[in-house]
Amino acid sequence: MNNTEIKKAVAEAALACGAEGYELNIEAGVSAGAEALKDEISSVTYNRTGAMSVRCVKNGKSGYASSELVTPEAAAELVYRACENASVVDDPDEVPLFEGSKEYTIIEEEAVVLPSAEELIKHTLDLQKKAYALSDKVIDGTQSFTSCASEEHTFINSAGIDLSYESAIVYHGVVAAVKDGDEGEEDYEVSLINKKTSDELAKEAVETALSKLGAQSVDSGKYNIIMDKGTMRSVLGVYSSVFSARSAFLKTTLLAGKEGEKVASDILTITDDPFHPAKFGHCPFDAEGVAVYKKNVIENGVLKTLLYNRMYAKIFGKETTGNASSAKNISPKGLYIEAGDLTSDELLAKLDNGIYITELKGLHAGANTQSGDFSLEAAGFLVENGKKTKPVKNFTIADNFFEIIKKVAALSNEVEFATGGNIGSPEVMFTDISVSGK
Amino acid sequence: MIDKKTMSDLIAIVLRGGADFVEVFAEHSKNDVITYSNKKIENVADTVVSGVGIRAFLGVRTFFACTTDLTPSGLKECALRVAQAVGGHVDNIPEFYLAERINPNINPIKVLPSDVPAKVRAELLRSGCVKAYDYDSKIIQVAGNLISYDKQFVVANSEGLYTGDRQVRTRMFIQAVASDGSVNQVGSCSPGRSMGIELFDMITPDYIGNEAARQAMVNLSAVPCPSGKMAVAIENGFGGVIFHEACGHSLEATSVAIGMSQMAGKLGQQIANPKVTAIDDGTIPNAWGSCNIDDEGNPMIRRVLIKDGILNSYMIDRLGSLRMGMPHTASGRRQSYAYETTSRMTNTFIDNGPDKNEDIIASIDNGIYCKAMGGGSVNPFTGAFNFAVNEGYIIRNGKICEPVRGASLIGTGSEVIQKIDMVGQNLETAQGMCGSSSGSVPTDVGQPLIRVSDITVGGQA
Repeated sequence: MNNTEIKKAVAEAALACGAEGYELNIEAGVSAGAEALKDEISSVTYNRTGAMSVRCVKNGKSGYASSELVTPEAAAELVYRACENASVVDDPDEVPLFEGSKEYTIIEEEAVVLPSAEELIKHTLDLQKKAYALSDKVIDGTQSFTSCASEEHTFINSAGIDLSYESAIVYHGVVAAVKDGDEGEEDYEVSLINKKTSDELAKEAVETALSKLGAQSVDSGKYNIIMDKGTMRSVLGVYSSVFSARSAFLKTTLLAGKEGEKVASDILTITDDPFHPAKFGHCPFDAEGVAVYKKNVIENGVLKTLLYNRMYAKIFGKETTGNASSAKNISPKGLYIEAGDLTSDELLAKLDNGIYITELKGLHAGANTQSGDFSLEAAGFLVENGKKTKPVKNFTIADNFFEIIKKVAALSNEVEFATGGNIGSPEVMFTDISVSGK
Repeated sequence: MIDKKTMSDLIAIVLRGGADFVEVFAEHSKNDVITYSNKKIENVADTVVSGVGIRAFLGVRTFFACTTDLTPSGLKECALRVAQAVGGHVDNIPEFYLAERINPNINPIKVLPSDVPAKVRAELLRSGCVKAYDYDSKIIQVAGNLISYDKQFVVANSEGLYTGDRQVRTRMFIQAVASDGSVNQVGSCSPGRSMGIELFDMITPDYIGNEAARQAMVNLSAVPCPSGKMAVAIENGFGGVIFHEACGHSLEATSVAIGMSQMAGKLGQQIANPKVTAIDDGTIPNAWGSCNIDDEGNPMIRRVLIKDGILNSYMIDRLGSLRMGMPHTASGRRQSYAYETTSRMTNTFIDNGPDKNEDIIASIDNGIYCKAMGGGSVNPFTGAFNFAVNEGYIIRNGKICEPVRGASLIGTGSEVIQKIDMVGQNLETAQGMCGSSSGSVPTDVGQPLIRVSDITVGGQA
């Protein structure tokens, strides 16, 4: 689709509607994938997607409309709808449209060539075969996939901004199902295709699934625990909204008004870095067109800053931190817990006795961002004398996010981001967590 | 939306690629969201979801492409991608013609949301949110939204099917935060129906706001929940999420057909207590999960999943039917054209049973009364499930006592449905959005008050 015609249609419609200003986002993407079940390809997909969204400012107020139909006619229609929506909103905008940052950090990305359908299929079948070959306990139901996607994102506004960002990703994954007698377990592993080979990925999925066989529950009580990188990332991801200035304004985070205060353990530093090399994608601008940059959110236990967009920066008398997401919302751009200096083995030795958590479920419901309370289904391994011993499952861990950040006892020395994700973490040890099992 | 001739042409392109079966799904939907926050109507936005998804089968292999480029060349490219993936070439494709089927309407709409000015809808939302603030001075924040869905689609396939549906849904969500200065607690209420704005004649915004605030205030006075194994009584309505998670997902062909479900191969077996009869019924007029047809074009039906504890039926879509060698149950659902259809629930509930509600509470010496549940999740293969308790109370010596907070319930599906040993008589449903490989779809969960004799309660105390 020709963006020039869309931009023109929006500008003309905005003028005709009497809008004082507008923002336009256009997204165009292609994705493809192949999945294998048993020893054959079960599904092949190819998706061409487009979307655009418009914000219009009329009589000082903003309204929004979006559409997956990316045509000049649909664009003009969006402007009319956005203007109509603006008339229903109570308050005028706090800040005018942004005129642009002085400079934007551009990271040279490694060029990604999207594989052809044949290559996706071949790679997937190979991955599936490798998973089956690793153990005779691997059963049908095991699935492998390879996917790729590329996306172009354009952001313009009537104050003179015209930015675009392209990204592409190729990744593969395995759901390994294993059975021993009547007992079944599974494990899901995914990675960028250039980060782990098919052999490594298949091995990781199958070995992890096998290692879960024979898991029992644990006795209820208080335990010291380690969250592995993945589980710690999911917890940090769910609670990332507690660092939002919007939440502070709405008084829905207990960190409201605590900038400059000690809120966490001395050894905890949480950074938001849009350009972290371990993270996929480095878009140089946020949803308002502001250049994004690296900052410490918590530094040695002290809350240095919340995350701001321009609206909440103005309300609180601060500068934006380049964390605008859609509409009036705020989101991190690369939030991670800084690594410590222990290897994984040293961290286990420090834990000595406790539980190493590898799975947490139910975060969408069992973690409350306002109160901080969480109670989550967990699985992992018992740690005895500094070594992982038996697999454990069917228990919960329960505590409060604002309390556990004070109970960080040690950190491992490597940060890992989720595949294609915005959140990163090393392994983290906590003391004195409620466990409910047998 | 694209016309019948175009759909027929697209099907023909894919058939020439050697597919056994081809389906074209064309959608043009509009969703409106009005947001209230911090005592203001903060945002009004609408979204048009529009595109075409083309799916082909060759045996049990599926090939899928979707596009938002609805130009003739964009659609043709989409169909060619599918045909190429199928990989064959057939000169003489079987003859077919698309004959339209018009379906009876089980979800009559009295007041179409898009015909009600956004200003008027915004005032409905505001009145509910203001009611929540008025409930108590400790209510420090109220957020709400009013969502209207208007999903319109046409589905055609190489067997000559051509039919469509228009699904209008309305839902108001209000969340209240209560604070005593150092502790924040939340309450929420979010009813929805396959209805227009007339929903609010039946369930008023005032009720929704009040209920959210009441729950937040209960939680503010609640103490941390004890942990360990104990008996629980789970109240009606959203309590039905226990069946949805612990059992419902494991009965979907999505997992059963590939052997990745605890319930695979158990038809006709006693899998639950004989007091348990569970139903998935997509035909309840105006219910949240009801549809005239499923997303594969089949007229909606009622499925008795478990009858007196015996497994009676799975929920099966077309692909599941091929894999399992069983008829489909009109259970194919997808969030939109961009997702491949798979088997899903509609309105799923445990039916009324033989026990009196007061007897259920009186039977528990030491346990938890779960008055309101949150969401949860399940691994159908292992059966391990979890769900959150949004409003809970201690039961001591058969009496409901002080409120507790921050609890979840976990267990294994096949075990817990055996342990549902008392089933009450106040069946009610509640609304949720259920996520799976075909996206997020509206589903009702429901049950009367039930007792689970023994389950792991995860709390902080």
